[in-house]
Amino acid sequence: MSLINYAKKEIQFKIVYYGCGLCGKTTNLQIIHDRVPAKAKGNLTSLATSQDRTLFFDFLPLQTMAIEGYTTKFQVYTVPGQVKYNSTRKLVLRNCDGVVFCIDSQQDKMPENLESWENLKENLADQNDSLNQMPHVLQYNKRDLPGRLPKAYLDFALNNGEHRIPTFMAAAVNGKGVLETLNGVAKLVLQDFIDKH
Amino acid sequence: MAIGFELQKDDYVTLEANLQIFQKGAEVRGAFLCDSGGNIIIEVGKAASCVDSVSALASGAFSATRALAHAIGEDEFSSIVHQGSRNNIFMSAVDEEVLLVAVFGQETNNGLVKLEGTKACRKLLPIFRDIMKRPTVPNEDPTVTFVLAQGPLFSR
Repeated sequence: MSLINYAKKEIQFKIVYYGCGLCGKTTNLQIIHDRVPAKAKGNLTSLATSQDRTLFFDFLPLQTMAIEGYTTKFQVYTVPGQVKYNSTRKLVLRNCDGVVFCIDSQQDKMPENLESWENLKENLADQNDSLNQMPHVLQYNKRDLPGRLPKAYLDFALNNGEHRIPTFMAAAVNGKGVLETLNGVAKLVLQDFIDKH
Repeated sequence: MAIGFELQKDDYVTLEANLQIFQKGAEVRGAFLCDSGGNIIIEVGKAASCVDSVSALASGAFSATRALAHAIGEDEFSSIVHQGSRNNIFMSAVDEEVLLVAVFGQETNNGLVKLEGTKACRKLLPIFRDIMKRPTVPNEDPTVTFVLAQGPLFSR
């Protein structure tokens, strides 16, 4: 839910990184936090278990001048990927303006990717939303691993609709494709905002 | 996509005045209003050095508490206080979408913060209802347009 403050000349958006467990959502935020200049970022907050698995969410506030005359803030979140944390995923997804669906490109992770993809649609429907109305991109992550599936296969499985979703190839652990993905979804969110105003 | 809300300058002034009255009456160090997505709407005083993170965490904690309330058959726990040895935090729902958060130390007490917080929420509720039901395109200034700046948004 975008928030416009005309008095402070400020606009805020919420972006959520979604995907199955261990697909690299938290790694994306860590890389963004490492690479974005200090003036454009706040603290990275992680609510994780002792095994470094996301328990509630990770959160990173970012700031830029994307819209002329306005400070534009992006509040970037990840959801916990493990199946048992669905109620938490619903809470984090609430009032979001854009989604990055992060995909583990390894062959044996496809069932989990597809389950998470369906789960995203169900959770959006629960809040009277849908991917048709929500700016979103796909990130094919872990392209550095030997067991990765070809892009064409992933497109066939996840990006076979009438309107093709923007996709980004990434190896988040090395930082590859991470900022490109963030810029991709941020631009879609901004364009959607401009279109509605 | 959820419908966002827009704060006009008059809204900002009204909300800020109400929040300042709360801050003074409850004697809290800092207070802010945030939405259920964790976005800060308005802030007075200094609640924390990284208030964005506090807002995201408070919103998440309050949402989780609301889910807990439902799980045991309550509609909601309308306010929460987390008490530390030096610093405390108070959270109270203005409505489904807006949360009042205050950070305070030993200079005040829980009872006063809760009392003033409840009063503040009652005053803030009709203001937010009015903001929420307004059309999202500003009536008072039809010339307002948003133009995308050129260049990459985020780079090294």
